[in-house]
Amino acid sequence: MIETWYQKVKENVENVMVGQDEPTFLLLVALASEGHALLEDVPGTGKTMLARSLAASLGLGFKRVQFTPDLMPSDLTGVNVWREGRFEFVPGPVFTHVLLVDEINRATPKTQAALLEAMAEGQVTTDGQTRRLEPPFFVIATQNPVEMDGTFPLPEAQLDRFLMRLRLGYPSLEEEVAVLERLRGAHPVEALEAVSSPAEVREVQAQVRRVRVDPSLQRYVVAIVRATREHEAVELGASPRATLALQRAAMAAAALSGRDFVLPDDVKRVAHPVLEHRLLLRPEVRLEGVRPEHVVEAALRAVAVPTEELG
Amino acid sequence: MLSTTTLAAPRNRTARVLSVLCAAALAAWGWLLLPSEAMPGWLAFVAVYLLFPPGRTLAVLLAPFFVAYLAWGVDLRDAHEVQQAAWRMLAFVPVAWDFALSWTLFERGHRWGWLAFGAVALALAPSGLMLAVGLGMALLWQAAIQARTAAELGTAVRWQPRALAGLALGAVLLAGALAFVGPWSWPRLALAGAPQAVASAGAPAIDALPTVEGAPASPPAQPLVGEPSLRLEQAFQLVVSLVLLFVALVLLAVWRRGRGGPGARWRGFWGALLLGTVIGLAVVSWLFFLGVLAPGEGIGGGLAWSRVAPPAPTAPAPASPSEAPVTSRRVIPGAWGWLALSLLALALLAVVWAWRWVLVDVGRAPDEPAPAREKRSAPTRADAGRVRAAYRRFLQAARRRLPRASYETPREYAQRFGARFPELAGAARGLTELYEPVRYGGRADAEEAARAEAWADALEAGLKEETL
Repeated sequence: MIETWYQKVKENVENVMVGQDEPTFLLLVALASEGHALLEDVPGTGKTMLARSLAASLGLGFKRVQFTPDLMPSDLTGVNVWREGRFEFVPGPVFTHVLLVDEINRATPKTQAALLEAMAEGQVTTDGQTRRLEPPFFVIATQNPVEMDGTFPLPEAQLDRFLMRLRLGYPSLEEEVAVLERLRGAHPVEALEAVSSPAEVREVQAQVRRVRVDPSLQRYVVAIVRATREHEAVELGASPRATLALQRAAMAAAALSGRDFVLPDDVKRVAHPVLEHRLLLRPEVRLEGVRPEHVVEAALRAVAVPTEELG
Repeated sequence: MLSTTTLAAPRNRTARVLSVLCAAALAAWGWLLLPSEAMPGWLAFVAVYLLFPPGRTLAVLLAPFFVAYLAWGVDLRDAHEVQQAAWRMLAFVPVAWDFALSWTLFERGHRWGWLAFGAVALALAPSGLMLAVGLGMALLWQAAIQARTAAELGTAVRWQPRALAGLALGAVLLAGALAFVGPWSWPRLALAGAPQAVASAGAPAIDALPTVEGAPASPPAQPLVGEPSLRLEQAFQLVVSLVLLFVALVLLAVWRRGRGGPGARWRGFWGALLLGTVIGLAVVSWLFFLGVLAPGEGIGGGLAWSRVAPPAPTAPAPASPSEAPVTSRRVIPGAWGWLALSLLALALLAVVWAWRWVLVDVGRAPDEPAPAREKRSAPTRADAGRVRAAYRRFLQAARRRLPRASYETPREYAQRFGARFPELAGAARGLTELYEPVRYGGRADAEEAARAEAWADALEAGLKEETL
C-alpha cells in the first residue's frame, strides 16, 4: 500500500520537478518518519519548488514563511489579540500540515528556536497556553550554505532536530533543458492536483512504525553512529537521537520500497542525509578539505554488515 | 539452573548441553593449573563469571587481591620458597583473566577462543596432559560453537559417522599416548620396579640417566633440575614427525581438491591446517625451549615426568634395600618415547580431521537431498536455516574468486558478483532476493528454501566451472 502511495505521489511531483527522484524519495521518507527535513543548497536549485509541489501533491495544508532577520517568534506561532472584549488567538503560519520555511538561517536564533520547539514538541505555547499542532506536521526548511553572507547558522543542537538534510545539486544538461521546456508557459505547480490526503499520510506514518528491524540491524545502526563519534576528524559525533533517526528513516525507506522489514541497504541509503548535518568536524581537518560526507562514508565502510559468518 | 545468557540462550538442547560442558571443561582445565589452596577462589571466580555476569568486572579486579591473600606469609627473600609456594599462586591471575577472555570469546562465538587459554596453560604447565586436555577442549569448543550456530539457524545438529569415528579414534590414540606421560603411565609403573628392563629396551643416551630404585650403595636422590628432558636427536625426530604430519595434511587436501566432485568441500581445510600448525608450533617450542635449548632451566618436556626430589640431607637413611623409597627419575626410553610420539601424532591427525568433519557437516548434510514438499507450508526456523545455509554456501564458494567485503550488503555484493560473473548474475540475484526476507524479515517457507538451495547449487557449479 505504501509503495503505491509513494509511486503516485512521486509521479505527481515529477510533473513539476525534473531529475529529483532521490530528494523526493528522501523527503517522503522524512514525512513518513514523522520527522522534518532541511534542504540546503545554493539559491535557484529548486528547493522551494520541490517543497511546494510535494505539499500540493499530498493534499496537505501548506503555508510558507520567508525567514528574515526582523521576523519575530509571534509572527510564526501566532498572537492573542483583543477583540470584542476578550483575547482571541490568531494562529500563525505554524498551524498547518506542511510548513515551508524559506531560508531558515536568515532569521535570528530566537525565531529559529521558536520554530524548532514546535518541530520537537508538536505544540506551540503562547501566553501560557499550549496548543497542539494537527498531525501530520512536516517542516521543510531551506537554507543557503552558511558560508554565505547575512545568515545566522543553526546551532548543532537545533540541526539535530532535523531528521535529515538534503542537497539537490545542479541539474544535468539534459535535465536543465527539460526544465526550460517544461516552464516555458504557465508554471505546472499551479495546476498540480492532490493525490493524497492527511488521513492517508497519517496511515502511512502508522504503518512505518510497524516495519520490522532485525536486532542485528539495530546493532548495525548503532555501530555506524558510534563510528562517527570515534572518527579522528570529528569533534562532536552523532547523538543517540541520530541513532533513533537513522532507524526510523531506514524503516520509512523500507516501507516506501514496498517492504515491511529493513535491509542494510535502507540504512545505507539514508545514512548520509540523516547523519551528515549532525557532525561537527575539527577546524583543522575542515581546512584540509575533510567534510562530513567523508566521515559518514568512512563509518559505513568501517562497520560490518550483518549477514552470514563464514568462520 | 544456569542463568547466564550464554548458557541458557541456545534453544537447542544439544547446544545448551555442549555449552555447559564447554564451561565445565574450561573450569576443570584451569583447576589443573592451580594449587589446591587456590581452589575456593577459582571456583568462586568461575561461578561468578558463568552465573552472574554483572559481577564479572569485580571478579576480574579482585583476582590479584586473592593472590595476595594466598601468598600471605611467604618469605619473598627466600628464592626457593618463592619458587615452591608463590609461583603457582601467582599463576592464579593470568589463569583467571585468561578464563575471562576465553569465555568472552566463547560467548561471541569465536572459533579460536580456546587458544587464548591453551597457550597460557601450556606455558604454565607444559605437559602431555595439558596438551591432551587442550585437544579435547578444542573439539568440544568447536562442537559447542557449531551447535549454537545450528540452533540459531534452526537446523538440527547432525553428527556425521565420519566425525564420530574420528573422535573415537582420537580418543583411543590419546589414551594410548597419555599412558606414557601422565601419572597413570603404566610403563612407568611397570618399569619402576625393574629399571634394568628400561636399560635393555631404550636408547643408550637416555639409559645413561639413572632410573633407580634406591640401592644401598647409591647416593641419596638428587634434584633433577638442570638435566635435559629430551636429547637433541629425539627432539629432531619429533620435529620431523610433525613436519611429516603437516605435509600429509597438505597433500591430502591437495589430492581431494584435485579430485573435485560433489563431496569435496574445503571449508574446514584452512582451519584444520591452522589448528595443526598452532598445536605443532606449541609442542615444538615447548620441547625445544624448556627441554633442550635451556638445559640448565629445563623442567621437562611433554613426554617426560621430571620431579624434584625432596632435599636429601635431612632425610633418614633407609634401613635396608628393601625399605628404600622409590625415587622418581625421568624415564624416556627411546623406543617407548618414539611410540608415544607416534601415537600422539596420529591422535592429532584424527582429532583434527574429526573436528573438520563436524565443522563441515553440522547444520546440513551436503549429500542429503532437500526434502521436497508439495504444499506451501508455514514459515519455520528450519526453512529459514536452509535458506541461510544456502547463502552461506554461496559466500564460501565465491570466497576465493570474489570475497564479499565486510561492509557490503547482500544486494551490493550480488551486484558486484553479477558484474564479475555475468552468466551467474541471475542466480546470485535470485538467491539474494530469497535470502534478504529470511535474514532481515524473519520469514521463509519450504518452497523458498528449496529454491535457495537450487540457486546455491547452481552458483557452486558455475563457480567451479569458472575455476576450471
